[in-house]
Amino acid sequence: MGSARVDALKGIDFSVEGGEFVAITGPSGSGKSTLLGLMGLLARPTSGELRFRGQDVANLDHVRLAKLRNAEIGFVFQSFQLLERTSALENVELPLVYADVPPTERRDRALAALERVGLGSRIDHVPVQLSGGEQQRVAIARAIINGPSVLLADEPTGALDVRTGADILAVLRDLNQRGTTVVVITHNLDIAGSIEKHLALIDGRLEFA
Amino acid sequence: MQLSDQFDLARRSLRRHVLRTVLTMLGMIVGVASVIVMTSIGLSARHLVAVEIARLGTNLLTVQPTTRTTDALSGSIGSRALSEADGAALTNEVAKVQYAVPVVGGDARLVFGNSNWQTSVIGSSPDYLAARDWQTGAGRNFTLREVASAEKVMLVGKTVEAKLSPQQALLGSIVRVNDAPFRVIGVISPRGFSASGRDLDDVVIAPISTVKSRLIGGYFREHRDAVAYLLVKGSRSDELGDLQAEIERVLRARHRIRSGADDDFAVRDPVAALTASKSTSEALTVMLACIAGVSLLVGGISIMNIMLVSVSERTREIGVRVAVGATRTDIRKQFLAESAAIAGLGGAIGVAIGIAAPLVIGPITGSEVFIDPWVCVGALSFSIVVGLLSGLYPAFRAASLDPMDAIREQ
Repeated sequence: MGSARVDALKGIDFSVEGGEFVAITGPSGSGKSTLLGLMGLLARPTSGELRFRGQDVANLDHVRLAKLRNAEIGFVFQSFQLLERTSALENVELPLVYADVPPTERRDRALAALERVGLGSRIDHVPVQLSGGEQQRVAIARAIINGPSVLLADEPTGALDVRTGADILAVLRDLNQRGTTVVVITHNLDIAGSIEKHLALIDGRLEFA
Repeated sequence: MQLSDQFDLARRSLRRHVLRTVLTMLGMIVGVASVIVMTSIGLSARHLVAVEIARLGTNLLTVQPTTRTTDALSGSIGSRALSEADGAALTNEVAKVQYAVPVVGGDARLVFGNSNWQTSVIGSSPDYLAARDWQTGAGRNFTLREVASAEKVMLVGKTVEAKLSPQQALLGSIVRVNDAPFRVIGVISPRGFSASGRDLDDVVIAPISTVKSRLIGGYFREHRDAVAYLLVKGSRSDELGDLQAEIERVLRARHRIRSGADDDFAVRDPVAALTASKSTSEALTVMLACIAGVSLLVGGISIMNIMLVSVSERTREIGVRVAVGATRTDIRKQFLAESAAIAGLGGAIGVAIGIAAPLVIGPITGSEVFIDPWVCVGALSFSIVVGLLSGLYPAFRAASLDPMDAIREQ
């Protein structure tokens, strides 16, 4: 078996400034997920430069990348990606477990994060007992619990109905207004249109829309 | 990530699949329990042999005739090869011989009042007790004079006394032995049971002359000098080999056996025979424990199998953990902690079963229970090591997953 090399992204040069609210759109297969992986420090570029807060992170070791993800980046996924059979509260605590925060402090901070995304009750429910909107709020609470500077949302409204999707978007906008940089990756042009800065990925190239 | 968090995570994950966890542990449970049980059996066997050796007495050899003759008149079968005179000669001529006592034996029926009891009778000289390291608990031993005049006196074991006269002491009483009245002049100090479960106190000892003439018929009645065997006690244990050679030299001379011809007697060291059987059973125990150890390895393989299943089931979970900040080390530790917990818990249950089983079964079979704590510690540590080793590959596999692929996994 041979493997063909495919350049998922090519010749992309862009930056997101602190405090921006950015939408990145593109048809499926355009490299959105690859871009998300790079921006989230989950993947390294095969060539080129990747800077986070001015620091070249393309060649950082795994442990440093993990610490940066833990402290500076929050992920929100289309299918929520909550741990099964684990309460909402414990799902939210997860990043703090890897930050070596003691259990009592974890709980307090998780409760505060859930409050901020508008989910004060039902914190002891496991994901299957929660609605899609509630699950996505739990996922956002998990993403922001460690006070990250960047929130990366991959199709955050893709699995939700229009109204709930709008609610979730409102939560993201609220977080942005409090200072968090938010990047939303979506193929939904309506949503992208409501966001201040809109970039479109076409055939591995990024253009202003 | 803290160690306490790692183990909390492992605990939750194992509780999520209770049946699967228990089934995975089975190999460890069975392996550890059988290692402990096998060594416990081995220790018990070793103890039994030690007890048996102590019962036989130390520095003892037996000399038995190896040829048999048929008496022309009565047709009874026996051997004239060894005589009481041989015993006397050994005592007198071999310095290393402390005692060489002639022994005959048989069964006899004892009647006292309304009780009767069948037991074994030993006929010997007064030195028999000393040669065996036995003592009289009450009364006295019989004398050479009583042997010479074939007095109807005897020493009884505790069991015989208890069977014939449960209420009062038998000392001084007249007991009919095969219809002849014998006076009980002594009671032998209790000796308990042999390793094979024989009651060592169910015995009667009387002067050899009396036993031959009154109690056992056949060959010994016509050949008053013949003995069933000679019991020889050496003065020092480290000279048993020399002693054996001396005995052979003296007896060959007395029996006028030409050089090159076979002995008509055999000198045996009962302790040596036991020691040989002891080392055989110990080798067997070690082998059985090793086989049990192999099942620990098999248990390790089943842990590896389940851990691999667990890694592929939890691919998305691994992706999410990496996304929120878990390092590869964290992921590796998570799965290592889980496999170590399975093995350690299984090992602990195995230790409990391995200790409990002999404690329950031992009293039923009437044998003493021995458990080596170091075997328990060793088996438990070994199971944890096996658990860690079998978790290594699945853990590395989990840690090397590409997080983007892992998250997108459906």
